[in-house]
Amino acid sequence: MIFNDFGFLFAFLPLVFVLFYFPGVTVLRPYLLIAASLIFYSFAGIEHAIVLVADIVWVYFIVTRGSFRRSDAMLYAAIIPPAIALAYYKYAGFLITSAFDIAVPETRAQFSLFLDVLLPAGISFFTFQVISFAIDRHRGEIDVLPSLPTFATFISFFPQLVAGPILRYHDVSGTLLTLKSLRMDGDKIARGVGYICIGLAAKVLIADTLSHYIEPYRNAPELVSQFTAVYVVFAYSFQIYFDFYGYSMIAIGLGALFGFSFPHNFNRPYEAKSPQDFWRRWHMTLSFWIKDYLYIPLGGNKAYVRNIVIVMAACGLWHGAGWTFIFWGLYHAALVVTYHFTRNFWDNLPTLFQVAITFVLVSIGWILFLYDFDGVYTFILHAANSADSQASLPSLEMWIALGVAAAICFFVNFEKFAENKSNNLTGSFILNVTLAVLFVVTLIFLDRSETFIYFRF
Amino acid sequence: MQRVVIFLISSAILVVMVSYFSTYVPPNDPFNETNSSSTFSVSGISQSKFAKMKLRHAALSPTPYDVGIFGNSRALNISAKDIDRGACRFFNFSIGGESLRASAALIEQLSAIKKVPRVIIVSVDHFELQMYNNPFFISAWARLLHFFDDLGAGLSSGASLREITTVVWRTVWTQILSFQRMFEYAFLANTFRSMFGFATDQTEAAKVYLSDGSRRSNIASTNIPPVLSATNAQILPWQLKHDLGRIAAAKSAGVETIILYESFLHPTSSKYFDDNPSAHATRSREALLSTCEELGMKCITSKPKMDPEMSWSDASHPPRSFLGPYISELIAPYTPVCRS
Repeated sequence: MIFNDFGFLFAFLPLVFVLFYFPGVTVLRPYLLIAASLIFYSFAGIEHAIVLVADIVWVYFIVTRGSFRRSDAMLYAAIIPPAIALAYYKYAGFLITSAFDIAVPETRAQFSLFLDVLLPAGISFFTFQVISFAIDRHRGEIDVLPSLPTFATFISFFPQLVAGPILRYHDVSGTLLTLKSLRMDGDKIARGVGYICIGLAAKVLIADTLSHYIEPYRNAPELVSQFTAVYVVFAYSFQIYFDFYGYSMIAIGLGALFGFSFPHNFNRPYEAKSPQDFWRRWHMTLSFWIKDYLYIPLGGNKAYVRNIVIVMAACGLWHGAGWTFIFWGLYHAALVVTYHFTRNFWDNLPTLFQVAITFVLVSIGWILFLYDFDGVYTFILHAANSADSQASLPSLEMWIALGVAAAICFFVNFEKFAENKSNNLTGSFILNVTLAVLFVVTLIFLDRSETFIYFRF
Repeated sequence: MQRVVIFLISSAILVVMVSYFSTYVPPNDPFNETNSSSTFSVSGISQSKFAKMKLRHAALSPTPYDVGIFGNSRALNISAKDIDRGACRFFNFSIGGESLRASAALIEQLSAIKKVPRVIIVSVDHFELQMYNNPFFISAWARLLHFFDDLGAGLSSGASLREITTVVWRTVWTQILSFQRMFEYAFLANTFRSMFGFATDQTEAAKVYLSDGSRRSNIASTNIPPVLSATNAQILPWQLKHDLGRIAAAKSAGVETIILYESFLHPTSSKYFDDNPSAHATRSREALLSTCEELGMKCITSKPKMDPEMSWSDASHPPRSFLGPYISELIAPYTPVCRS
């Protein structure tokens, strides 16, 4: 089940919402959310839900042992099995195809156990969440252990299960522990409605429109010429941003409907003044996770270049099991390290220039998400050598869509709109009527909407 | 909470507006026989809207048609010319994408206004395909009434809890899908165009209709799958019997003859399923034949010999060059009065 689906918006969500706030059954709320989340997740496949449940039960079983906080071995016992599950489902096939020639039928048959597995949706997200819980508990940052239903709610809660934001226990522990006594909060629900409407619009009206325009080039990179290559680079850059931003906004909005305040995942990333700044603004919950659980344990700034290369390669690998993703991570490592050594020069450039160069460099990097290496090579070859013809040039409609996306990205403060706050009734009225219009217009285009890009990860 | 209420009321008003546009039927009757152009091209008009246009056309007709065919896209290409019944007034009431359940609902609605044809031919999907979705063209209110009717039929037939749950789930799912279809951009855009006098999108040649309600055949394909995949059991035998009862009830509205035939598959698939019939298809077929006999309807599941060289648009849509003469032969004994 996905957020941009009628079944989710008009059957699943209203039903769960009504049951959640139904008087007299508030004591069952954690169980309701767990059941709803498992149903939500099981639409991707029952067997995948088993991996999720196994991770939850295993980690909870280990972290509740008396010696857990004193024993490093117990910590490893908690986090290694979920990590192995992630490695098996996500990386085993990649490692085998990198090491062996699976075109040979015998070799393929030998490794079929690893090659023919389907990736459970969101496994990268919930694995990071169970690992962070175990580490935080081991570090003494979680004093009071939640009950198993509360822990299971934390990990499996459907708004964030498949593509984040990657929650830390302390982000939501306050709400989780008071879930049974939670009252319906009009402010939070209005905020939730605002975030859901804006998120859906970002995904369906902007990201999916751009996706529609670059679709021919996605499937056939040899179709690009000089101008279309420029178009594809920037259109895909805005597509991936509004796609994931839209998802994160919907997740925050859904969380708010049930009383949760999820952390933000984006802080206007394309306005970053440097590659380093970009990573403080893009997919922030992943950046902070990597910083706290990988970069700092590796020694942090003490071995800056080495650690940046390691964490950015890991970040690339987290996104996908493939050399293009690793290369994308290393590309960003190169950008961050280059910035580090040219900081005095870079920071003295005009702000507009800093933002522009960061945006262009980041956008070029996304091409590694769009194509495999052969595709990237073909794309570059044709971008460099194919002259534009009238037929190959992007249409005016395509440029308008790109221009609108850029204008919204750089000049519109969506969060302020989504917060759904106004000082007077007239303001509230206008704001909510506008949100309703946006919502219904989004519904009209929902049938051509695609799966969120980050579901792959 | 005030803000949420404003949002919900605004959204509800907008959804009602969308609903109005999505169910808006253009005022002109494209099936009007006096219309100088015998064909008209449409795209961006939903099949549900077509069902309403066909119903309205029947309602406006001074007398009921002599012959009417009901079904879905598998019978939609049959025109008056194909069945060649001379002076008989023929109309094709088929609705693309629907199942036998929709035919039953349409016949009921025509019976209610006393405009049901004198001879009815109903195309039933091949039982290996097990297509038995609830009708989409009816309103939510009618869907609710159908649901209670189904529930009553199920309980009186001793349906299992699982079957009752299936009926509930299918009703909910059809309602969600119907709601979803209300918002389809292409249909809404076309409604706006026709409401405000702009030309409708007429690019799809495959969607050219004739004034007898039939649709021009799709272009024959050379790429026919060798054998279609059989679907899992979906037809609930007691529900099939109940729907056949609803069709048979049209006799009280003046229908003289009701003929149901199981639709045809491409010879390759047909031969495969004849040799390897699934248990659920056999069960459904038996339910059809025994109920038809009980209710005095003529039901045919046997397949005539087909020319293997005949061109099909796909493996489950029989060509009209075959289907036309077949139907003509079926109804011949019942339509002597309108022979030219």
